[in-house]
Order: sequence, then structure tokens, then C-alpha cells
Amino acid sequence: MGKCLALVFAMLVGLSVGSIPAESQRYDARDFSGYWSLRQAAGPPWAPNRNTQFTREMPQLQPWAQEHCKRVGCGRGVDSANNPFGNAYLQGEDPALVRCAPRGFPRILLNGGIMEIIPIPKRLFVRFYLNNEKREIWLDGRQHPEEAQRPWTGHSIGTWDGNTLVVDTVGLNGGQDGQFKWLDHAGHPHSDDLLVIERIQRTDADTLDFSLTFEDPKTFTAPVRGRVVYQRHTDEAARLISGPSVEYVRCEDQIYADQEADAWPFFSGEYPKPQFPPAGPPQQ
Amino acid sequence: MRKSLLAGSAVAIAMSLISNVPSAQGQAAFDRRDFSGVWRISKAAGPPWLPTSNRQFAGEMTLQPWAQQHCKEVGCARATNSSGEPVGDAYYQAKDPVLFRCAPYGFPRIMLEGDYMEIFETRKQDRMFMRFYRNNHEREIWLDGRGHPEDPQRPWSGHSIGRWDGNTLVVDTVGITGGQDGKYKWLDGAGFPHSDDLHVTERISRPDRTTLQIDFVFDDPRAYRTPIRSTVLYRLIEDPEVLANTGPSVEYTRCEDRVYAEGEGEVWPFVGSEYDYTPQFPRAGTAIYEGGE
Repeated sequence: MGKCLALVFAMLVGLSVGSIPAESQRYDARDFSGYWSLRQAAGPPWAPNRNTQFTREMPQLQPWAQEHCKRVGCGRGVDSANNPFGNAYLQGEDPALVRCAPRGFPRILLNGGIMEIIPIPKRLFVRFYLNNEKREIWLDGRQHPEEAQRPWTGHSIGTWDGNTLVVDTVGLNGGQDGQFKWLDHAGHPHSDDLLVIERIQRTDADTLDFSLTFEDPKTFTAPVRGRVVYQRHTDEAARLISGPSVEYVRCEDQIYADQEADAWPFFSGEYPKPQFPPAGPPQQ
Repeated sequence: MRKSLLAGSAVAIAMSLISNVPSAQGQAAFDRRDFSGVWRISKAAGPPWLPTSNRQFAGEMTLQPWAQQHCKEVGCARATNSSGEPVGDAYYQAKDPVLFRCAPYGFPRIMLEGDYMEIFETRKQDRMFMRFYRNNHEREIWLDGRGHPEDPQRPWSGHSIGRWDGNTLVVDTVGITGGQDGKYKWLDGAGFPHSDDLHVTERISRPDRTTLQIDFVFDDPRAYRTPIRSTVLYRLIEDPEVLANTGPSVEYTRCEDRVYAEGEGEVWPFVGSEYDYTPQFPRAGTAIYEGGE
């Protein structure tokens, strides 16, 4: 009888151990490695193309930045009243498009395509499909150098706060106040003083959550807080077509061009006409 | 006595099989299979009589007729031939696609001109990366036993797979189709072309702690009658000052002058007629590439 009970008990224990949760539910919260793609729209809910900015609200801008935004037409599509307003992309002002400039950090987080995070010695190495852009986050306790020499992606150092990786990025001085580099797709500028603080958490097996704070008193009247959420990417087939292992050559049409107009539409004057009139600041 | 001999032999055999090597000169032990670190080319790759002999992989190249024609047009090789006579200088003849089209260096040219090269592996050791200072170019070598896909979609760097042969990593690269027979991409800095069929084999080893050796074979019958062989040596860079200021962690923006350009002439000298570099050497006539030297 005792042996029987023991056997039954053992079987029950075995069964309960055997019903292990699905593999995807087990994860190391500090392991960010793998392939990810943007899941959650970052921009205002009423903007048709919602991955244009990090925040739901339009940032509050210093006067020069407001002027910049009037000129390029910050924002995309429509405002909260559903009126068309500035579309910086179509107005031919996007430096990534017309100057073949890198998107850089933090903008690449909004539309880099599939993102791959690879732990390597002393660092996290992050690769994006778009433009083969990449960044590295130093985890070895070093400080920012005097001169970061990384004008487009900045110098990033990370420290763990529990299971949250807190990343500090400075040195983003390639943009010259919005002329050659934007904070986001919507056209918002930033100055050389921009400090980006990310708090990155793997909140479940398939989710990587970035809370971002943009501190740039020269550009914004108050720190700007944003968020992007990434989904674990498991589609091997899609990665073969558009993952970071596929070579993406920035501005490839310019390389193969034979005519100036193909190589440099910026100067040829044949850039497509905008669909919307130039923007004023959004009517909120 | 026999037992201790056997034991000693067993230990000796075991020692020879492991990859750690205590150096005879008392240097720190190192793992022969660990290529990680920052490296820079140390031994000239080209013929010894070329002033800037890191421009090409080999002195002897037996070109097919179309490739000879290409070389006449661009002026393959640099500076002087073995008789000291000036021959074509591809760079100054405004034909280098890297310079004038803002094209990537691609592989294998980046192995000569990438400057500082950082090698690291993923933790799972299923891939090795080589990052280069120039153009922030990187290539990845798959170590997980996979084969080449039908369509690698890596026209500039190719698709690379590697397997270990003892302490040598043997890497196979195909799919380098971006160049269109030398129009947009060169095999090396001297101007030599290659076709889409180029097949590159590298045997990579670490003969001592501070040396990386790569034995290349370039197999491209459409462009060269016989395979081209070349050995390139790289030395380990350990100076922290140098690593901080010039390694691949420093951002290099390809064709940055075009990004910041205001006027057309600065942006696209290729198509403007105002490009006026005067070549220092005449166009090549009898050049080394005709297989004679």
C-alpha cells in the first residue's frame, strides 16, 4: 500500500514537472539577444502613420526648433482635427532621403526594420536591417570619453538596475541642429547636447520595452518622454529577406547612377511634389 | 617505468591536441582558435616592387581578355612596374567606384583597405564578425554548419561559411554579385575586376599571439585563367589610445562630404565636368597585368 501510494505520488510529481510551460514562456530577463521588430506605434494616435515619433504628444519646442519645424513640416499626415498638415518626407527635406545621410540614433529605433541584438565581449552589439546601421552599448563600466567620435549614433554606456538596462547616450553631434539629422521621422530636430536615457526591459519572453527620455534644453522646453515596444521576431523566412544579415546598401541608386538626375535628385529639382502644404505647428 | 612513460606520452599527446599554446619565448599563452581582437595589416600583399603594395593581393594575375581591357581602361595597379616605369594609376584616373560613386569596398577588397579590423564571435560561437574602421563595413561568417543559400542577397560582401580544420578556420564565400564585372566594385585597390562567379577561400590561422594569417585563393575563371593565391598577415593592436581613437568603434560615415555638401560640385564630381585631378602617371600601356611579370 505504501509503495503504491509512493508510486502514485511519484507519478503525480512527474506529471506536474512534465507539464513544463511552453519554451517561449521561459526566458532570462537580462538576455536581450535575438531578432526584434517594432510592435507598438509610438506617435500620436490620430497620425495615420504612427511610427513617426517616440511620443504621443508633439514635443514642446524652443523658438529655433519651432522655426525648423515650420520649414520642414514636422509631423506626418494629419493633425488631431484630421486636417492635413506638414509632411516632412514629401516636402523633400528629409536628410536621410535627399542627402543620403544616416538615420542615426535614436531615429533608427523607429523604422530600422528587423533589429538584431548580439552580446559580444564587453558590449551589446545592435544591428538594424535599414542601411545596415548599428550601435553598440558598452557594459564594461567605462565612462563616456571626452570626444565620442560617433556623431550619428552617439556613445552609449549601460548599467543594470535589477533587470532593467539603463543606457546613457551622448555625443550626437552630427546633425547640426536638425539640418542633417533628425530626432525622429516627423522631422523634430535636436542639438549636439542631446542626452538620451533608455530604460530597456524584457517584460516577457517576446517583448522588449524601451522607455526613452530625451533631455535637450536647447531644443525642448522640458525633457521629452517616449516609448517604443519591440516584438520578438521568429520568422526565419522573413529574416532571410529583410533581416540585418541581408546586405542593405544605402542610396544604392546613387552608386549605379549614370546621370546626375538619378544620382542626386536633391539638386536636380525633380524631387516629387509634396502632397500637403507646408506645416504650421499643429493645432492642439 | 612503463606506466610513467605511458602517462607522460598521454599527457604530451593531450597537450598537443589542445589549442592553448604556451609560447617558447615565455609570452602569455593564447588560444589558437581565438581570433578576437583588433588587427591591422602588417605584411604587404602585393608585389614587393610596388610602392604602395597593400593595394593588391598578388603580383601574378593572368587576366581573361575582357579583364585586360578593363585594366587598360582604369589603369590597374599603381605607380611603377618591375622596370620602374610608371604604369596606370587607377585612383588618379578617376575610375575608383569607392571614391567616385560612394560604393562600398566590399569583400575581398576590404581585407586590404579596411584599416583596423575587429573580430568577435557570438557567445554561441555560431557566427564570427569582422568589423572594419573604413566605412563601418562588417562581414559575418556563419559557423553553424549551414550551406550557402540559393540567393545570398549580399552583393558586396558575399555569403561566408566557415568550418574548423584543426586550428585553421576555412571560410568559403560566394554570391559577390554587386560589381558588374568591375564597373562598381573591384577585387582590390589596384583596380582588378572580378565576375559574379568569384569564389573566395580563406584559411585563417593565428600562428602566434600577435599575428593573424589569412591564405586567400580567388577562383574566378571568367576573369582569371588561373586561381590567384595570396597570403596576408595582420598584427594585433593592443594600444588603448589607438583603440579608442581609430578602431571600428569610431564611427566612419561613408562619403560624409556628400552628406554635408552645399554645392553640386562637391557632391558629385563624377558627373560634373569640373573634375580635374591630373593623373601623375600616364595611362597604362604594357602593364604588369598581362601576365609577364
